[in-house]
Amino acid sequence: MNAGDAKPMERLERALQASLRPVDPGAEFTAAVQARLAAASLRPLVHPAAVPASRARWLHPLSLALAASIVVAVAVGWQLQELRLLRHAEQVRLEQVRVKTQLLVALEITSERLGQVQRRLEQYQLQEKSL
Amino acid sequence: MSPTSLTLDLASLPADPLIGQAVDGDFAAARAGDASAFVRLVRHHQARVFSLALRLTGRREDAEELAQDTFLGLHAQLRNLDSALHVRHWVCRTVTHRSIDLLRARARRPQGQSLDQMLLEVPVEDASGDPLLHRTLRAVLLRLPEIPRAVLVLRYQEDLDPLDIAATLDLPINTVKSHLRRSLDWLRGQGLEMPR
Repeated sequence: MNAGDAKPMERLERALQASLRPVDPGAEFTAAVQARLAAASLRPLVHPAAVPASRARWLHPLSLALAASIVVAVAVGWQLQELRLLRHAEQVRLEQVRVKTQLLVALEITSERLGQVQRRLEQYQLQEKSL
Repeated sequence: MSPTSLTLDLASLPADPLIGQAVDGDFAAARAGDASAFVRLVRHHQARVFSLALRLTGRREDAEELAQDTFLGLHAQLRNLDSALHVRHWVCRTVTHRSIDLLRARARRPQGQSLDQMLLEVPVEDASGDPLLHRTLRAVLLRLPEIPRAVLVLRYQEDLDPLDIAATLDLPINTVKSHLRRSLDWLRGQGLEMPR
């Protein structure tokens, strides 16, 4: 701001101060505040304003919706976890069946081999006796 | 905006001649539950609170409701306030933020209106000096966006310095200074005839 602007600016500031001088709203205003305070203190206990703040917050529709969402999310999560456990148990059972089958096949093969060996031994014993 | 947090360092402020011992006494008594002391506190601050809301919203009905709401809030908050000076800053801050919130909720500024139309809407007040100039200035102020308007009103109605305005509006001090400078330049450009 240069020196030439100082006076017009001062005049503007003075005019602003004069224009924005506080105005009193009057005795009616004070009475209205008193009446509203009295009304607030006379509210029945069942009025929502009388509900403790924490409870009022809890009963707010948004709070209830949030709580319902959390319950649904927990339930869905629990169900998914159960499903995952069931699938895992089924995979373990199938693996056990596969291993058991392989073991049985291996035992069957071994048993067959042992039978062959036993038959050959018996043939040798017969041949030795005949000699 | 939340009016409940006060970042202003009250201890660093100079003594306020408007806050006398009687008001200090009323504050202490009101805080202890004396209803008549609270009414005296309301009387002491009501012109300041009502005028802030009136200058910011431009409507008497809105200003009365905002000011009354502010005093009801004050009644609920008294136990959290430390002094009569704290009360003054609390009510200024609260009514200013509530007025700005209302203006934003209204989501319209009378920028599209002519000055003549706006003059018809500006409440008539008893004023010394040049009533037409004062009324015109108040109407022109309503053309400013809410934050620059609040800065000017706090500066020239409440006589707050930029530091206090910054604390009241939660703005950086340089932003406040910038709003002040630009708003005054803008007002000067409106072609209003100022008395010499």
